[in-house]
Amino acid sequence: MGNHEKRGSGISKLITNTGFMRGELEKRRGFLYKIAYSWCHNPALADDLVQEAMLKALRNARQLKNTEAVNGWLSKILANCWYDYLRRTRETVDLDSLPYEDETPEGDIHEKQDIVRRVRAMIAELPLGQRQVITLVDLAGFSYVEIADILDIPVGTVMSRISRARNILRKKLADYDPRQEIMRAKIRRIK
Amino acid sequence: MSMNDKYSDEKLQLFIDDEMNSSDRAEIMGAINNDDDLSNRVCELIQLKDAVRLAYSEPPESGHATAHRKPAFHTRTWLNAVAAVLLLAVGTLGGWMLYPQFGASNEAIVLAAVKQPQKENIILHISKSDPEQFTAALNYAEQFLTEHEAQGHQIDVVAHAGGLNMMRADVSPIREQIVAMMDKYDNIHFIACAGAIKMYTQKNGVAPDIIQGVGTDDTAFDHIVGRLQDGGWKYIKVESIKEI
Repeated sequence: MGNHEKRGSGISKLITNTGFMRGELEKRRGFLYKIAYSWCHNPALADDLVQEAMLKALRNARQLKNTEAVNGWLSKILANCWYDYLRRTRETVDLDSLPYEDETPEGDIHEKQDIVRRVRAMIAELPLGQRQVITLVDLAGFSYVEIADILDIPVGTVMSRISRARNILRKKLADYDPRQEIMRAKIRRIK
Repeated sequence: MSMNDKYSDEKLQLFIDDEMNSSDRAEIMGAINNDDDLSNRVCELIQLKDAVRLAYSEPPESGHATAHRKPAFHTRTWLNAVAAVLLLAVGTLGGWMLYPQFGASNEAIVLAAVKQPQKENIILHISKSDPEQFTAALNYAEQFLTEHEAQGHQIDVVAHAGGLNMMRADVSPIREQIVAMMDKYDNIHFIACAGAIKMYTQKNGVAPDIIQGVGTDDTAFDHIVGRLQDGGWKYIKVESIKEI
């Protein structure tokens, strides 16, 4: 195959991948925002991280080798944007010390919202690594192997972080609500 | 030893996260049917998983995710965007190969990049709070406008994240130069990301003091993608100017 043909093939692939990425970004913006928000618990920051991730994805569309793995690829980019943000702000802000920002309107609190608010606050208090794995497995539905790839950590670390995160959440939820049975029933009913 | 004692929390997590092979899964399913304590532990883990899902089923909107979103891409405009992305990839590489002798000098790099044939309007994107990048962006813009004054090409300087500091009247080291350029040229626009402004406001309790005349209505992403959709725009990340 000549050089021109190789170059033509590369450009065709770039067009295909970039076009594919356009559609995926349109569809996945909400998904990425949900993950970003569960990590930082700040709507504006989450939006900013998603924008950064989408721009990087658009610029690097040709790097996506397996189009079926786009969720994982985008999540990995998002995680890297999050790490970049942490590095940029490390000298001035301890992200793990940031207070959880409650977006619930005053006077609009009932039982479902109360549970939502408290669970978000509990997750916000988890160490960053545990927060990431618990949301990636429970919200995004990634497998342990996929999470290991997204966060660039061993699978064993994924498993131990999930285990520790769930133990903490379980204890906090038990401490929080003596009417746990009511809460469980409510969650079941909402589903 | 009861069935409940036989299964560790880690093993039950593999079960609820669907990480088990079918035989182990069947074994636990059978055990759950015969052991109330084990059944309760599994239920508790599933309920915990449900609680996490519920907590983020409707995350609060940032106010920008929908308010400033452009209409969905259309095939024709998207082809233009693809072309712009292609130009970015090819243009960056081309610049590197054409001007290797300027590798050590930022000023020379900027000049070299600007002296390449420009057939398009330019989006300059800055995301870091780095005075050197601020200056590089302004030098690039000034050179571009000088070189292409007759053609009437436009240039947009879009700042988000740390790059917002470039557009802040109170901290920007190049505030006067930005004001002077806006006065001098009609075809340069400075845009501060609406999302970054909101984030700053949330964090500090007060809105940033943005230089008068800088646009603040759009997010960086929406503005950039909107331009690429329009066609005739070339995207350049400011840090790549430095690195070339």
